[in-house]
Amino acid sequence: MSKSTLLAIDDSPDNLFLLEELIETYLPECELVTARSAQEGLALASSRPFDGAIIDVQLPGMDGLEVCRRLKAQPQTERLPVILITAKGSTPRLRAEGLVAGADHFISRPMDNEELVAKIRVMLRLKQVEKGLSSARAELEAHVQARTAELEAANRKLNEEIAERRRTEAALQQALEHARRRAAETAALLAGVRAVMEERTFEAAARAIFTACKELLGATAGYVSVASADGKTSEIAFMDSGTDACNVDPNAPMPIRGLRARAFETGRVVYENDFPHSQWADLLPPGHSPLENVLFAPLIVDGRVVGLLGVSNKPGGFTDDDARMAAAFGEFASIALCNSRTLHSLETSEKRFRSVVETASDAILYIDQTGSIVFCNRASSRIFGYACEEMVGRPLTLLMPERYREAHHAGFKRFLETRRSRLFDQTIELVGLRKDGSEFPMELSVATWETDATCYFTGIIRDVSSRKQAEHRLHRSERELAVRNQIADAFLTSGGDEVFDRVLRIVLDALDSRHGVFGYIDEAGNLVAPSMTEEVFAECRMERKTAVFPPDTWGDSIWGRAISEKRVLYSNQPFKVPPGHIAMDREISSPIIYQDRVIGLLNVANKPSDYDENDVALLRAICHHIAPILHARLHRDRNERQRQQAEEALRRAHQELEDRVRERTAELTAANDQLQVQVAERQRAEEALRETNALLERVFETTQVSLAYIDTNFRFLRVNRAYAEHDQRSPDFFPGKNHFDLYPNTENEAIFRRVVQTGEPVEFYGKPFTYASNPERGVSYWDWSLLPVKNAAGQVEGLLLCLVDVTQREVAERRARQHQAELAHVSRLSTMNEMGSAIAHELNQPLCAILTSAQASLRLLKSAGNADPLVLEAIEQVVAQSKRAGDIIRHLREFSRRRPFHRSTIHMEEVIREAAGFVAAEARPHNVAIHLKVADNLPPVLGDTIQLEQVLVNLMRNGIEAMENTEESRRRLDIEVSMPEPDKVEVAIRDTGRGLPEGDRERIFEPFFSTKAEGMGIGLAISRSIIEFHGGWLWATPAPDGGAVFRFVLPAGRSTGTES
Amino acid sequence: MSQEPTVFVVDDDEAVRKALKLLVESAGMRVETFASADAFLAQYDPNRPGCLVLDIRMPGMSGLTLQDQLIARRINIPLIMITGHGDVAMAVGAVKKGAIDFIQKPFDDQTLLDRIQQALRIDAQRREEQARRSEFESRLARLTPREREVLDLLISGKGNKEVALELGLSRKTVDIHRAHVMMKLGVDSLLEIARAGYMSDSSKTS
Repeated sequence: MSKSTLLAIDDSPDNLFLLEELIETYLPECELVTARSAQEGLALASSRPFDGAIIDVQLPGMDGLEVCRRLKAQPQTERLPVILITAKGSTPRLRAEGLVAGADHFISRPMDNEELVAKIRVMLRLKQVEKGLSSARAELEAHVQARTAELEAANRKLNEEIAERRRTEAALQQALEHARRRAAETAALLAGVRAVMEERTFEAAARAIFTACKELLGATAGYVSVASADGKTSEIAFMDSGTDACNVDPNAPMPIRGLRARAFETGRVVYENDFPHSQWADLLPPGHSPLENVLFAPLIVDGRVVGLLGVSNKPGGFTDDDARMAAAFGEFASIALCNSRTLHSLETSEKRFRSVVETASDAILYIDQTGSIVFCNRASSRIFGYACEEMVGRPLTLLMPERYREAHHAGFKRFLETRRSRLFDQTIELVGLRKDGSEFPMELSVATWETDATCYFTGIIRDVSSRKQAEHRLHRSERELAVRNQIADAFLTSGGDEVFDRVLRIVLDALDSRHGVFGYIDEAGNLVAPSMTEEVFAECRMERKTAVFPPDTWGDSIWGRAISEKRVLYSNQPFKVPPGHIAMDREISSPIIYQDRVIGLLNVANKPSDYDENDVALLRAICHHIAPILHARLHRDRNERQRQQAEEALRRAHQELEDRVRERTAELTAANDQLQVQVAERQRAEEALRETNALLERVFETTQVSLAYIDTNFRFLRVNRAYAEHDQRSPDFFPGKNHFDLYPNTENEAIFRRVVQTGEPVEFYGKPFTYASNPERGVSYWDWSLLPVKNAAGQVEGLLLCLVDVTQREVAERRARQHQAELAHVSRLSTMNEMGSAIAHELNQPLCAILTSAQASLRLLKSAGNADPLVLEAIEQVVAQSKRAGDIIRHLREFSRRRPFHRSTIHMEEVIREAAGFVAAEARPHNVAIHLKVADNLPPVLGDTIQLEQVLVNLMRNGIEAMENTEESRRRLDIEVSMPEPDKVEVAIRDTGRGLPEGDRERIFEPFFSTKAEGMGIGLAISRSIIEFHGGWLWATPAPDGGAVFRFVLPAGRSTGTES
Repeated sequence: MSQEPTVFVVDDDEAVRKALKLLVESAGMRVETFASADAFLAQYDPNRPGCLVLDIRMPGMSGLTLQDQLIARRINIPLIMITGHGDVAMAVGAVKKGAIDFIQKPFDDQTLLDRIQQALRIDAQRREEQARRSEFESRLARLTPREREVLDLLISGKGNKEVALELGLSRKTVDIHRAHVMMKLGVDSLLEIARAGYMSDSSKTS
């Protein structure tokens, strides 16, 4: 049993102490907690449960009454029993106040211990009873809660079951509805199909289809319409306005617009369930029955919308299901429409055919496979002369001449066997036989066609008699025209007698004759025939063959008579000809008459068949045509000839005269000129010579340029003062001496010789020259030229040598150039330094960005997991190279940085050992043996220890890396320090590696040259620069047994070495 | 205010800023960039956890000046300095003044990210420490004067009975006060209170 806790609030510690003692003695089942102020007490009371409180009324600050009030006011402490301790002499009033404040007991001072104890016990007992009550209540409440929860759960479950049952019912209902609808749809669709199959006209079919659709959907009104050909309006085929009266005229064509237009455009079912409030409402014509909702299904034929099936005013509005069904009905209506149209067009076709056949002007016959005529049109009886009834049933051969009937039977039989004939797909010319026995030319086209069992032939026949005649006439005039054109062309394009030949050939060709003559009558009245065909001339064995026939020879010949009688004569009988003359079987002779005079003759003979009227007419026409042309031609020729002769004579006379005059004049002038020229020449020559001489002399002697005139064997002929003075001689010394004896020089001698040979001058600037016999004179520089001097004949007879001593100039220039180069070098270096620094600094920023971005990309790709390994590799390259770039930049900076030069006295051996120590860590894993050999009595060197160490480390590292691929047992690095000369110290580092690269050995010391894939190539450049700085030199040579030796020399420790 | 730590990057070079943003985000961390120290100071809320990556050389306020400013404002965000060209001396100075580390451009990504992680950890630790301290102080404030008195005496090593005697309270009272103190401060022993750096009034004045 736990102890009860009591709280005592009293500011006097003694009171509290006494109280404590009291409780310890008489109330061992209690523990006392004390507070020395009202606040403390209140705080404690709120912080934990107490079984009772003993409060002194007289407290500083807040008194005990107030504390009691407060306790009773707070929910946690309202049930706390309170014993108030009042002071001596407290009034009943105070007690009353105390009771009001909530106190349960009072004790006044001085306290009676027993009373206090008893009151405390009472207080505690009450508390216990209270505790029991509260626990009982708590139990009860818990029980009630449990029961309530159970009931709620049961209720929930019940509700769920009800809901489930309801759902099932609804589903069943839906299924039933669905089935019912399906049945209605099927029935309606069947009605539609039946309408299409049974109804003959489109209107009837449309009505039936529409009615089925309307009833199925539950609409109350509608129509079926067909669009006009232009698609702008439509006409009603059938309308059902339902129960509402509609005042719109059903027969007027409706413009296609609004919702209907939409159906036309899209070719799909459209519907609008709230028509009055839709955008289409305004398009409704006045008087139209009220439209609540409407649906249009298109009628589609060959992919085009040609009409509409419309239904309207379905209570409740249309659904997508309705649209689906309506589409099907629309299709039925389309099919019905198609069918009716087909029938219609079939009827129309037949009528058209009939009219064509009867109105044709050609005969159209049908033949069956027995060869009998089964049909003939009106034109057939016109052409053949039989009445139609007389032809039907008779064989086709009735209409052909006797001689063709055999071939026809054969061909017909062949076709029936082989189904092939040469008659088909062609138009053939044949001969037809009329009833009255006359024949006529005709054209025939044949085709064949088959029905199930039999085949028929269709023949179309045209009477072409009149056409044939027309053709004949046309042909004749064409021939004539062609000939005339040819003749005209001949006259235009040929000259002289050739034209006669050509024209004759044309005529012979046109008249199909072998021989002919085309001639003209000349001034003397003779017949000239330049055109007699060659054969005639050759074949004719007459003794006297001539092309010119005087009139008295014309005699009785047909052509003679034609000329004298001035008319065309012809005969198809052979002629009597003189012996030897060519045989003449048939001949036409036609005179060519111009202005009633005969001016020519055209004769043709020996056509293979008889000449007829056509031929005569043609020849006559040709002669008529030729006459004016021939006349003009003859006239012209005559004129032409005369004129030419006169001109010729005149020209000749003129020419002779002129020639003679010219000759004389020329002779005189020439003589005069010559004289004058000679005189002038003589004078000029004299003058020029005088002047030239004087000038030459002056120039030659006064010029500063050394001049020497030498012959082709290089002997001096003359030199000027300047030349002589240069050698401190007199000009008389030189003539006769050989130039190259005095100044031997093989190169120059060759040059001189070349000039002599080629005759071309040469020039040199700043050419160096040494006196072979006087080397102490050193090198001198000369501008010189060598000019060939030619004689009148153009041969080289001497050389003029001009020299200017430009030694001073050359030397000065060279020195200046060198100085400039050095200056440039130095400034370049420092600029490079500066630039290098600046560049390095600027580059770092973007480089940092590049590297960081690339590394970030790599991370992102890797974390995504599905990166293309090639991409990863590429980006890794970016990273590696960026890092490398950064290293390069860093090295560059070091390279250009001016490090302070710490001069000290260095013993190479020590430095080398230290460097070897650094490198040992790398040498050991590679199993490279390092050997050091130092000569005795080595002088120290002056220099910067760190920098020299850097060089050694660099060289040693290079050596070790070079031996990467060398067999391990052979790897060694030999370092040797020696004194090749009294004040030089040499360090040689030899390896047994891959040796120096091929080619220029100096390249390896260039910056950025590296044989290593990841090398930067700076090391050797820096090393060399350091050694140079120390006043030494670094170079490399191949080692005798493979590998390389790097050597550097330093001056021994004196005050040599460049100042830093 | 989000509790996810943010890496703040201050660098005047736009390319570097972008690259750093990409890198840090690729490692799955939040990052905000600023083109100048001024911009950063204007926007930074000291309650946000994170760390600061900072270029030493910038036009206007330099990295070092920013560091001084942060110190003056008692902003304790961990600093990583990025240096460009040979500013090693300056960087060392910054580290002495409290920067976590410095790193030279161009830097290796992993190195930087490691430093950042380290800085964020330090920042988290500092904040936790700070939070714990505030928590403790607020709890202390909840003690009543009497509880405070009892605590002081107990902390100085006195036993319950002594304390009761000194304060003129019953022993039970002291027990109760002691229990209340432990509960309010959320500790199990006086040792924890001492560790939390609690200094009794008496020792404060000594």
